[in-house]
Amino acid sequence: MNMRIPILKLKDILIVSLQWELDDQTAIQFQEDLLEKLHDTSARGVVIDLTPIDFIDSFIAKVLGDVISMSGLMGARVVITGIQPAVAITLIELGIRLENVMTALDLENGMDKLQHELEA
Amino acid sequence: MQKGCFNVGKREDIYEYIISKKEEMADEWLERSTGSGEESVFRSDEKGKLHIQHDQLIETVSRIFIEDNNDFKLHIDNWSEAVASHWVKSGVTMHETIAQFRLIRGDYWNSVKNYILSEKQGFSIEDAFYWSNIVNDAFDFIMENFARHFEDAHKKILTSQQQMITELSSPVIPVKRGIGILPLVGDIDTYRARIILETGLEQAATQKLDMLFIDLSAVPIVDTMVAHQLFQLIDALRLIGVEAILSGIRPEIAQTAVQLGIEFRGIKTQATLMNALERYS
Repeated sequence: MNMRIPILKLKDILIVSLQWELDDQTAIQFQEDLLEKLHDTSARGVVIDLTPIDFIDSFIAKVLGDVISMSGLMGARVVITGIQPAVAITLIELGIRLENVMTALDLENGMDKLQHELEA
Repeated sequence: MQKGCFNVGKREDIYEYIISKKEEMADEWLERSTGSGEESVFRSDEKGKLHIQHDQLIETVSRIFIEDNNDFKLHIDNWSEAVASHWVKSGVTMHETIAQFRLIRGDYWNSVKNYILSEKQGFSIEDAFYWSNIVNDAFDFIMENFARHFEDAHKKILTSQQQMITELSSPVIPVKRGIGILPLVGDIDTYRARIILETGLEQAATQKLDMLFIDLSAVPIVDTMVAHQLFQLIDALRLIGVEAILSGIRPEIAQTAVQLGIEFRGIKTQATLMNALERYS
């Protein structure tokens, strides 16, 4: 079964809400879809919300990291929102610090941060 | 082999006799161990529960006369575990426990003695010694076994208290909307650091903080290990969108950190919490 992650557009920002844990294939598909959409819409910002995600492994973390870099190359800033405390701890233990990535507690904060960035 | 040992009939007779004295022994013991007497260690309202425990003990001990030794030990073990747990919670101390067993053993042996004396015809001196050994060995085993479970129950309480202290020891205090303080107090070992990481993160998320001021004024030693734990906490906070600022950097901490080559790259730090709040919030 092929489930694709829905990507919504709000003005010049793309919003992605991950509703379930990604398997490898879906993750790669998502990467392609997002970049396609960025190209089609010329969006300047992306918010990826991970609130329902309780578990993340190093592969998914890498895919996310790559998506961020790739989007950056295409001229879009990305902010990751809703990382759960338990997931945050796992990422840190895996040594994944997502250093140059914007993060926010929830979607609302994320949008604010992004607006801020884009206006600057 | 002594005359009385193999005689199954005699064994069952003693067993029946002791069991018949069960109530009497229980009342005798409860009289002295509960209420306000000088030997009492239990409250009067625990009489019911204690009566049952005593009954079970007498029944279990008496089975030494008719049961296989291993079964006997197993049953005693089960009894000890349950009763030790209760007595520890009731605040009975180890020496009080020993005193209680002295009372119970005393009454029990008196009963056995009375039986032997009343049946003088059927028992030789060797028999009397034999039964004496059996009963005393049984009680020795019970004491030792009970002491072990008593200690375990005690340890469990200490551990859970320790856990509670550790978990309560790092509260995130909100001071303004979106701004909180985490005052760290005392030494931070790996175990505590883990608790702080988990609870601190959870609280910061629940309170929807933008900024968390982590104050180190009351942390005596900040070495590479503690620094590493702090960095993990700060990184994890950043992942959930909370900026962490370190305050309470005492001169000793500043010196040690630089001498150990600990780098606080990208992390805002201040000498006092007051300065930090003024400057960044």
